Amino acid sequence: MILGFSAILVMGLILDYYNQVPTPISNIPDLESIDPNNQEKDVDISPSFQDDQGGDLDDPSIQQKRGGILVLANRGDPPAGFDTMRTSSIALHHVAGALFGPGNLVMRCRENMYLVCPYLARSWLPNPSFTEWTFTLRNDVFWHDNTQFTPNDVKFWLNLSISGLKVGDKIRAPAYFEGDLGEIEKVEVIPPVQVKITLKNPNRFFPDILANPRLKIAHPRHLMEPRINDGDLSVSPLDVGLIGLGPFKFDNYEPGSIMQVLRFDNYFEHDAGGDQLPYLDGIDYVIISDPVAMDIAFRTGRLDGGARGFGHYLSEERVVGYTRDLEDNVHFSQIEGGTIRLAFNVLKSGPWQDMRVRRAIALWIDKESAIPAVLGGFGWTTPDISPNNPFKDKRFVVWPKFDLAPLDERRDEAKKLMAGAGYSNGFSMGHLCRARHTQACQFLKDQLVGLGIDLQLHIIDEGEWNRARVSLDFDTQPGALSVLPIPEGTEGVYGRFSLSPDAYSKHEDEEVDRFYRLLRDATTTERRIDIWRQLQKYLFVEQTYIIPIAEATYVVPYRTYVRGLVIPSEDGHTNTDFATVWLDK
Amino acid sequence: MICAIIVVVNLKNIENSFSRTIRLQNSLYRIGAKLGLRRLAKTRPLVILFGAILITIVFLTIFADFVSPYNPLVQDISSRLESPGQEFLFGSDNFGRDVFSRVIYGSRSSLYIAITSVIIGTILGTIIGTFSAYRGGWVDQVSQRGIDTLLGFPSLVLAIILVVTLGSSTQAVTIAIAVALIPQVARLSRAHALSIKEEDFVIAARSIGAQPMSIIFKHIIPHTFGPIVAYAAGYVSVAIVVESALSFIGLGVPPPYPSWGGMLQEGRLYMEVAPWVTIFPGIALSVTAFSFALLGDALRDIFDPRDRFYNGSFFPSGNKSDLKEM
Repeated sequence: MILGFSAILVMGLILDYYNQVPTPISNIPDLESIDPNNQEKDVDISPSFQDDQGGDLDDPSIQQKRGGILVLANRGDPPAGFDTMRTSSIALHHVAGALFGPGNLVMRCRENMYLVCPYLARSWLPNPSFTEWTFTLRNDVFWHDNTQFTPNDVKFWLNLSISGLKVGDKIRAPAYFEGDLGEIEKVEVIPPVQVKITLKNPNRFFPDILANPRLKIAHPRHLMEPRINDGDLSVSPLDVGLIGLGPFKFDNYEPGSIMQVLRFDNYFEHDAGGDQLPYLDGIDYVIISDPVAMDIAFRTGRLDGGARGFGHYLSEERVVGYTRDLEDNVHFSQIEGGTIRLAFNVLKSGPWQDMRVRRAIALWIDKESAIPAVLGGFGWTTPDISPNNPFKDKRFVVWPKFDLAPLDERRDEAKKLMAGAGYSNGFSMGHLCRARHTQACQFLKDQLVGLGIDLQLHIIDEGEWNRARVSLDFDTQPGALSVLPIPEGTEGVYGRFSLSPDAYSKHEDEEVDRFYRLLRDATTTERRIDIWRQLQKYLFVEQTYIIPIAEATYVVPYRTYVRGLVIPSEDGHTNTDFATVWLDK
Repeated sequence: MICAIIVVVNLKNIENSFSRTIRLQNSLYRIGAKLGLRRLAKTRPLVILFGAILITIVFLTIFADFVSPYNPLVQDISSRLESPGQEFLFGSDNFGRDVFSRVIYGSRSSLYIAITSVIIGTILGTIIGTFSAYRGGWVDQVSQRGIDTLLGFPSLVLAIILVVTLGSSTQAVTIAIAVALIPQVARLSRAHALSIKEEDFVIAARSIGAQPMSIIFKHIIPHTFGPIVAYAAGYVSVAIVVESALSFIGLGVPPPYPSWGGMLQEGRLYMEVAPWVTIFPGIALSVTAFSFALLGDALRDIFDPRDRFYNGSFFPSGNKSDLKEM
């Protein structure tokens, strides 16, 4: 234990010295590891910092061209006043990466998104019990109005996120990701450049949680605090002129039409050759809510890149048109995406409270069919964590591959289970269906007809979805939140309802708690693998609270002259800063 | 002998049959004459053509259960995006569902919503407009300002506002389209009622002590009926388009139930590789809307006596029987 901690301490000191070295923070928890870089060897790190087309971004022989405006499609107007505390909408985060940066104190490494890299902090260190994390900030970071970024900004942002505000009758709610951060006891500024975050409970994965690209610092204290003091508690980034810390600064926004950003000359990141990032002069985000309109604009040369977001990601059929028109002049980037699921609210009375019924439904669904019908031909069946995820491929060999029997056999078994549960004639069951995901709902409805289940689709807009998904009003729901790409990061969506209202399935099963406790207490990766495997089997087979059906592969088109793109293995919210992009034309 | 009897009987039957046919033909001719169909056929042959198409569509709608080769909801992923052919007359969609069956069942949604909403909107609009005209004074002023406000919104925008408020369902769409129609019919019926209420027979009814509601329903509304029905019939085409537009933007008939607008919306992502998914519901929508628009025009011609004096001729057919039609 002491040896492990010493190793971590030494690693921290080393990193403090080499402040740009990627830090495999997610591996710190392995206390049996003496070599601080031991874990790094276990994960599949790309050999070099490559762009999406195979170009080595660290290769000094490649001369990146500076200048030019990148024209991208954006799925819609960024909602909620561009407030990253209010929404994880990709319509915001596709733009917000350039404005506010790809991370906060830390970020997911560009070369390997499963590692944590420094961003606004040079280094960080936990105390031996992992209840205190001290971050040392860079001193060359500036807001877009050229105000120095300080530890007080971090304290302001974290306090606003975890506690919100209350002044008299006015309330500012905490950030939607408040629960993900865990229970933060206090945030202290240690002058001149350090911030100490004290947690109520040990958390060895705190930097991994912070590295979630949705947690962007978009809240300049020097501009927002005066407004808050004047009583404007709901002040948003848009209200203060979208002053951020990212590689591009705000230039122009015409709602429903275009959002334009320009290079920020005081941006702190540099490439391997020492050249300042970003390379581009600016980015135009053309707001195109209709995917067909995006296709036409791209194929007629008015866009350099497509939008991110479900619906705008390409299907096989749409790719045909792109390739026919543009031949080799278009490149299709692939990102592992969200999973189609069926999650039960077992706290609501109904046949689905019977495990046999849930299991029968899991066996009955033809998961392979979901890929062409719902995912446009790009996807995988039954994963829980992306196939690219190193935890799966290497040591977390948790690709569940449950229910591998032929479909006919599974369906015979399903009918027996339904009969055994007394529902051989079927029943009616409600399903929350987001209006933008009706294809998945239609697929599920049709699938369950054969089992005698009449799936009643309640088609709801995003507002109602945000309310209903954390309620107990529904029978089943699709489950659509993205989680951290580590087993410990999944408690928010698989945990008990009373602890995790946002969980896909609503249950109060304390056995699930026990698994997560075991995970938190595990000191070796092997142990984590074993527990995670057991937990998945418990969730997806033994109790079948959730049925993972298929996972999407998101396909985004870019013109081949768009170079330096860093496409994440999974999660379309990652690497939206475009700081390393340049135009080869 | 027997043969002779059979021949005579058969001849008699044939004669009876022939005379029945003639009688039926005469009846239809008289009905046609009464409705002005002869004149329509002569002056507007397209009306007859699209009328026949409309009747066919209505027939298919009513007997969809017997006409459709497939269940419009059942998916067959292995047959997705099949081109039109023997197996699938209009091809199949993204889920392998038969487009022909979905077009036929889609007409149920579209026509049901359109016709029901137009009936509701017409009845309510007529009552409001007529009552407003008859009472006059502040009642008229208040109701007309309300109608002015509603008329300020385009039908589609008003329908979107209502559907968003009420929630997406068949009933909500029906109500939304009906509400969008009410001010238009109310304004039309008020205009007619204003002139009719000054007619001698209305004054006479009032002078013998008839109750206002009795005068409105027995004397005024029947005389405003013709132009309103003509307007309403034409508005069905607008209602179909509005319903389809609502379905297109996801506010209409909820999936997986077919509606023409919903099918257009779903199919546009496959326009290049499977244009049939969009083209056939599009054709059905266009033809039906056009047919109702022509029907409205035709009814307006029939109910509007001024149209019979066109070309400077009082009797356009040169036949005095036209006078009876008036």
